[in-house]
Amino acid sequence: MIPRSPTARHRTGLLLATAAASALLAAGYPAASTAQDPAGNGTLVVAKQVTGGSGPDVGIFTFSGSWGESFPLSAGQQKATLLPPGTYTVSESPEPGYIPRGSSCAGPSGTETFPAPTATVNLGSGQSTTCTFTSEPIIDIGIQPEVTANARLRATRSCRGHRKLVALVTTGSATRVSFALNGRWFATGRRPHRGNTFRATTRTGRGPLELSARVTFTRGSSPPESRLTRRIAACPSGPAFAGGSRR
Amino acid sequence: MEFAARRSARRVLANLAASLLAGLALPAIAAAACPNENATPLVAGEAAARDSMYCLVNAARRRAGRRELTVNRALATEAGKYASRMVDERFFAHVDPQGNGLLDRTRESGYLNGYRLWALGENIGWGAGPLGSPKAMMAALMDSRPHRRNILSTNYRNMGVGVSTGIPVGGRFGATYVQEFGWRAR
Repeated sequence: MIPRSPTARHRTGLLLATAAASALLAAGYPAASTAQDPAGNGTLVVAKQVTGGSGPDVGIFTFSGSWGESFPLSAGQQKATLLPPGTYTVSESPEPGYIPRGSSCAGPSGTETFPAPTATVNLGSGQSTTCTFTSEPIIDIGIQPEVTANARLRATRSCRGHRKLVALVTTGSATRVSFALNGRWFATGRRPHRGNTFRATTRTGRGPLELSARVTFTRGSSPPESRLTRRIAACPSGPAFAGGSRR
Repeated sequence: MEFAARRSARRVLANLAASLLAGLALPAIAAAACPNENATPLVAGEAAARDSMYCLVNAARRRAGRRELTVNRALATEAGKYASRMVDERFFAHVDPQGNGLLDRTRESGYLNGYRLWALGENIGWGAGPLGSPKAMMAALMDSRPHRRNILSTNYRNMGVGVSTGIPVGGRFGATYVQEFGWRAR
């Protein structure tokens, strides 16, 4: 290991981009042990950027250089290292939640792009090359379609002269309700009468009734459909209730 | 034979008045941002992100002319626990590794106790880095038709939001959100 010279900290270290970076320096972030005589060295700058933002909550990305150093960088930070002329490789470790979008290195001979999060640089004496590594954050979403309880079917049957049946289906997420009386469909509704209640009325005889309802829930619901049946006893025999008409 | 689907005149008038009032106040409402909507939970805290998400959901419902949802403590507790579990146990699904789904979790929360009719829905999401902010998450959800349908559905009356710092694929730089929607009747 080459002993660190008194000026090593000035030659190698984080460029101060954020308070976090300066803290790293204050804590004695290790300088590159391969620093040589400054006269013939080149400067390799590694920069990190994240599409969509930067800051302490964006993430810390880990880099390793072929000169034997690993270092962390957050989005918006960069690190400069003095190195002897030669060919160097810088690689970025995968960070969960981010897609690496490649890197590009800008130097005296132009800009070179790399599709992978690894960059190779030919560093000349006294030259400076900046390699920027870009990552894109991921967002992922999932959907649980509506889950419903079965609807509730209620009915009120009048045994008075008009002999009317009022059928009600109460549900949280029905889009369509069809009613049948004794196997014969008599009403269909697509909008609730009030709140979450679908209502239909029809005339009936005095005999026993079988009321059915077919309920179609909001698309994507589980279950998608429900069928309900309710039996209603015949009207009591004898004269109709007071107020009803006799026929 | 009559299928009563029309709303009462009183309700129509009430809606009309509300629409007029909303129309007058719309520029102010639309311009107002929800607190901490751009801050990730790592910076602003999970509680702030949760409150911001409540605000964003109801703002979206207001814009769509829907009734606002009320926060339900049981749904919120369930959502918070589930968001944390997804981060800690590294899964991202509506069914947990033990096979419990939304209905199982909601029953356990007590939200359905004593109710025979109900409707439930759930949106989950995680975003890394800047995409972990409530606003970024809400934008992604609203861009997806089935998620938007859950957010704007007229079938729900309650909601609960859970936020956990961290993402289910590992790493703490990001946030995981759970939105629970519910309606119930005896």
